[in-house]
Amino acid sequence: MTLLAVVSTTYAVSVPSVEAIPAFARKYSLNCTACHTAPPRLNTFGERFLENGYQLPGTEDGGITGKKNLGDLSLDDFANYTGVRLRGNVLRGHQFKQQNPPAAEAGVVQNNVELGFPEIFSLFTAGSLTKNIGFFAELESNLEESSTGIERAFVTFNNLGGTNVANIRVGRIDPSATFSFSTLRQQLEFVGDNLNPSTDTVQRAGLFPLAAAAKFYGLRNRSGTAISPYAPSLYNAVAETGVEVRGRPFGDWFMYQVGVLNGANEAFGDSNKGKDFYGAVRFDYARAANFSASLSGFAYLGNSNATILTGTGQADVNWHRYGIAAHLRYNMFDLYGLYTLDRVAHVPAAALSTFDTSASGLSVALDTYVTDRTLLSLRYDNMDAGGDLSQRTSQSFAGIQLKQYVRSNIALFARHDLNLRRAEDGSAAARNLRQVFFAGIDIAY
Amino acid sequence: MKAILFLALVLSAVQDLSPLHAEPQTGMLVGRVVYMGPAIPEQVVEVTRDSAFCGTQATLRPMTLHPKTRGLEGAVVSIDGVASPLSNPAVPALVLTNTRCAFTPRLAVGVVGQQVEIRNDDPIMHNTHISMGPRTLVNVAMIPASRPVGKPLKQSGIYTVKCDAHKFMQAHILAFTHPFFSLTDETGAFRIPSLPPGEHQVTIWHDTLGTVQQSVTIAAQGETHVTLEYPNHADARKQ
Amino acid sequence: MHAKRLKYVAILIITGLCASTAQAVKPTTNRDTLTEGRRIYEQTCAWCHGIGGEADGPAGWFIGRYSSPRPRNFLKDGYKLRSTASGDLPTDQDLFTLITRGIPGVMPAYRALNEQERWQVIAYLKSWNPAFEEEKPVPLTLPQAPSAPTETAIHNGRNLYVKYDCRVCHGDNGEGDGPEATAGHLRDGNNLPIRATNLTDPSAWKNGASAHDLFRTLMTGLDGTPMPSYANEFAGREEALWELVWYIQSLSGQQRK
Repeated sequence: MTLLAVVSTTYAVSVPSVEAIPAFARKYSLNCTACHTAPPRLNTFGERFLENGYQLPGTEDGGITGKKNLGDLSLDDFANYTGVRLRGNVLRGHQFKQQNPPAAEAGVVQNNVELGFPEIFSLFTAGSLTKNIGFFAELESNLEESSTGIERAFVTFNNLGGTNVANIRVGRIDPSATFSFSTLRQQLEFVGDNLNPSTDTVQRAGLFPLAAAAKFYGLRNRSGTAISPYAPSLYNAVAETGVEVRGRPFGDWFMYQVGVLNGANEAFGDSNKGKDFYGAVRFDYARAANFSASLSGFAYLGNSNATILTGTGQADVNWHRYGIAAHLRYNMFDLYGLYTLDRVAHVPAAALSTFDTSASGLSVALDTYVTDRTLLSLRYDNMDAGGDLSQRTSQSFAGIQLKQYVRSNIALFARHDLNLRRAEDGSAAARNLRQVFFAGIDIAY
Repeated sequence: MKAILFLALVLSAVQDLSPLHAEPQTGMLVGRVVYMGPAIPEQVVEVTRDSAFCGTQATLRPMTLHPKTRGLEGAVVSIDGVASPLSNPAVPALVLTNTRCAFTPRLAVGVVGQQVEIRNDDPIMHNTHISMGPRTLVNVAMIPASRPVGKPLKQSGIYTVKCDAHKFMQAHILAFTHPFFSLTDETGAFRIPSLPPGEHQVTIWHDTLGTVQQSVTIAAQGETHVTLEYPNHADARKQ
Repeated sequence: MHAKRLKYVAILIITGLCASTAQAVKPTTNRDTLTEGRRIYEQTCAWCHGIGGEADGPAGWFIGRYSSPRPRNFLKDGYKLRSTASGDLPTDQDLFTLITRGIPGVMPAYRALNEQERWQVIAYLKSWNPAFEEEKPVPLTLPQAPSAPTETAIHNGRNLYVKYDCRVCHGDNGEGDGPEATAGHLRDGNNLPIRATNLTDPSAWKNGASAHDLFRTLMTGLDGTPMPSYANEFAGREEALWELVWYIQSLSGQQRK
């Protein structure tokens, strides 16, 4: 995998004079910024392209654009539906208030500055098979977490019953893709937390849009594996198996979305339980004055989608989430935020005294181009954590990042995250990580 | 015979009523545009291209003031809103020449439909780019000794003339849909004839000082004299 | 025999289809045309060009950010890509070609709109600019390219490239790095910084990359940019202009008819 990454990096850097860019940009001969404010963030045109199942807004071009006829078959060139992205930190510095809490693994919770290799490599393939049928698959390899696997993979069926009346997605989907705040479209990349594999306690806080995170301590999935409070989950999950319908039947100002998932943070194929349901609405203004705004709300109703440990064993609980989000974009500014409220229901009475059944989170981010090629990003995250009272620690972080685009598809960045809560001794990971510095690279080809 | 007499009577009556028949009363606006504020000094800019011919420096003169009268040369005085079609659209072309790395004249005034004729007297290439706001009127490469290029003024307003090859070259063309305009001479003087009497809004434009407006009342006959003063340039609205 | 007959039927059907597409000519503009044009425009074009055509759509700013290009303002701007003389409006066919081909880098090709829909959109966006009623744009006469380029012709073209100061913006080797470009002197009609086209990368040429496209670009100029029209210089000397065209094509090694 490393070799592949190195090869692709070299390739991306050495390709001459091509402006940009991954598959869609190649397919439509467009620069990244036709659809993105700054990748991976979408602008309004990009959002509507996504909603239309990877077809230009207002068209059903899936059958023609970019495709070549090969006998009975029409196909895009390979490059027109395949892209790669390599990103991650080449320099990492962590500073802690109190090092090595009890039972911490050596090397995880220490002041350190280390050099690394950009750790996340994703290969994705996406496009349209034919008119109104689109597909998306993403293979991601995370060197830091030594994991490789399919992240998202789904098929879309679009414009059923009329233009934008019903668009279906089936497969491993990210439900928040079309929400005002999309979990996956963040300028400040996810930085993984660290769980102690034997005690399941958090050793190092993760840097996430915390509103999208699990926010509960002591929650487990049905196979008994601990769910990290930093894991993106439920409606804000990165990829869950299910199906959803979405559309704007009354015009561009209103979107509905309803879906059913196998279950958040659920192993594939677990059908021994009910399904999770979600619904969302989104209101949009996007007409003129270089301005767009949206306001969305969702409700996610879990159905035995998590467990907690009781004195006697594991008990199923229903984990719900409600959230509102908004975005405002004006010229170079892109402001977006999400507030979520989580509830865990059906907690056995015996566990109620040690388990907080509610949690909430807030994430607000602002990206702005300070020059043609320099993107400044700020994010504020807050988590009022819930769950196991003995571990539970709330957290607030602020992050700032400067990203310099060397070319339209190659960016270098430097980032600093700061813990806003008072430093505490003890083993609370959310408090002892004081600040973090990263420098890295983001390449898309 | 009776009928003919009657017809003649009617006709003469109609003629009497007709305003066409009566000599219309018109006045003339005569005056001077003055500027009492501190003169904006000349600017010297570096010439980075074709210095062998254009010289290494170019002098930009933001305003030319008459030392005695404080009259402002190169201001355009105009009166809009008088219903009067252009009597003679077949006016001669406005000639705009690239000469010694400058436009001559630096300010031309004409009417919509009038031809602009662009010439190049220099032994170097110019690129005459005339535009109004974001819309180009014409953008032509002017090779040494090339034929003149003609283009009619399409709409009223202020055209900017630039040479994309030589940034320090600039001129303006103002186009009107009526004949009520005048360009001030070196003493700042101007005259606009054939104006109907009454109150009118006078617009004064200068490329450095911008636009100001003032109302004047034109006498029923003869000349109405007025001195139009530009406010200190800091207050003027740059068009 | 049966298969053969089917083949004929297929050919007939296909011919019929082609004929009917070719005949889908520009409809006359009426209220329905504008209503349909508006519907398509608002779903397709408004994201960049703005709901009122004023180049202020919610996605438009990001295309060039602090630089050129910005989306076309249909109320005020002139048009860069045309077949008409400098300063003139484009012909309907120019607009149709543009929507069909798109503009590399900044505007997708809208072949997915059928011909009628493209004409409807054109009628709608023209309705914002009264100049389309007053001016009757006439395309320049563009001759067919003569025989294939010779080495002498390309050499002559190089001399014209120098003589006409192309190198001042586009650079000695056509890489868009001439002294005026690198000095940051170039500005578009909105006074935004604009880059000189890299003549070694035809895939990014906004006005097309064929010899004919290049010839047209040199004749018409690109309004709203520093690129002037050379029509006056080459009137009656089309042969010389073809030489310049061939030289420019030789910079990328790509000859396209």
